[in-house]
Amino acid sequence: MDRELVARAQRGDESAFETLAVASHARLYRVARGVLRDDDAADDAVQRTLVQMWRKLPQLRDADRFEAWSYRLVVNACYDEAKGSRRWTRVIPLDTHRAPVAQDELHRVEDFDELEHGFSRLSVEHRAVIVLRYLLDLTTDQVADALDIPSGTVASRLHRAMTELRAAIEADARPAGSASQWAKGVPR
Amino acid sequence: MIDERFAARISSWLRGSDRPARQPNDNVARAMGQIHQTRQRRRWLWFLPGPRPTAGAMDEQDLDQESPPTSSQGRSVPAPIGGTTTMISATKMIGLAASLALVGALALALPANQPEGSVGPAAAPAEPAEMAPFSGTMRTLSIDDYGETVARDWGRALMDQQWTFEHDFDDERLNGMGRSRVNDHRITGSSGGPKSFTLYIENDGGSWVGTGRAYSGVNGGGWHHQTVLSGQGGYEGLTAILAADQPVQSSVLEVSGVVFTGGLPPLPEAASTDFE
Repeated sequence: MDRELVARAQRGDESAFETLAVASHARLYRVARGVLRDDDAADDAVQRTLVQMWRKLPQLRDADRFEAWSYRLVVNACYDEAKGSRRWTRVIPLDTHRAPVAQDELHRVEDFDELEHGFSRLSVEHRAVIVLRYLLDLTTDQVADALDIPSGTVASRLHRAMTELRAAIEADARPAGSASQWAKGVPR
Repeated sequence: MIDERFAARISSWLRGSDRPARQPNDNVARAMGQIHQTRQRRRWLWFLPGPRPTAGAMDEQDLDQESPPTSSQGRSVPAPIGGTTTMISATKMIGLAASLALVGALALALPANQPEGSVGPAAAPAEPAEMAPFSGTMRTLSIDDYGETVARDWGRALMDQQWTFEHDFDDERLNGMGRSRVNDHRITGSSGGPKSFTLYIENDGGSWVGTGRAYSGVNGGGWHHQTVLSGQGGYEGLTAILAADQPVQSSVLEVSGVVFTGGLPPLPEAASTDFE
């Protein structure tokens, strides 16, 4: 990110901030949608993030940390969005328009649906570390830097999140011919 | 240890379900609409080097909207348009001189200069402390160290637990990333409270230290805290009282309180138990 642009926005230059906002939008939205799993909630979270970013930008001491800092803001906005709304628990509907569906593709859709259900049961805190680590491919240290928490905390939080996700998926899969399977119409 | 195959499955799913924003430009435009009416929060230590408004970055209307700061609130002061980039500008020097003159005038007017035995102003109650109410949130980001738990006669003591909070208050003196060392005494058999704790918070401007009491409602109800903190460093001479509520299963404490000059008055002796 352009240091000069950040510095200008810190000094109250709205046009510089708008350039920053446009440049940052895609990656902020990616995190928000990854965590919240809902387009409208992600839009709201990003908008909230941009306003907070403007408000708090003068307090950012090192312009080089802008990107990591903005991840922290969007994760916090996701917390707020999840707190203020129940939309985030909604599962993104599967894309049912594609046909014909090959057997491999069917398994993939089924697998994704299981993950979606499992992920929807995690706390926002756990979702955030998973998204930063496995969607954005940040290292543990980079996630720690973004969330301003120790690397050890990231590692343990990630471990707990993955364990819970696996447990949630297994719990969903346990009853044979469960409601979710019938609803999907996927033969076992 | 994280299962790499499971991690790869998660990664594949996240990427497979990744979608771009539907109307990114509209979203940015909506945010910019809000930004026009949103004031930036400057650092409380405004006299230290840092980002400053430049000519053209803030128009006069923006400056008009900036309310003048009060010392009790510790808010930032809008830097003058086209101000110098040196640490000590002429404007600041004039402000500093005016402040010193005011302090000198107040010192001369102190009751201590009055003749011994005089009555009147010396006997009058002290000026009320300068009060600055505030509100905001403390978000628990992590428990970095769970500390040590020791059994006691009355329950259990939890020593040196370390928390990280993000503070978002409308008073900059309590803002920033707070790292808190907590000693926590709880009555046995209670997953909630009551509990007593010590708290230490620090940020760029100084630190706060104090004690608090909390209880949680029965049946898994949320926490209710009251904490009294004394300022240290840059906040020397200030006291903060925080009342906080933490809803069930929430990492966010809703806090309101007041920062004031001086300390709490001493507790009075117990009142008489004789009733008319």
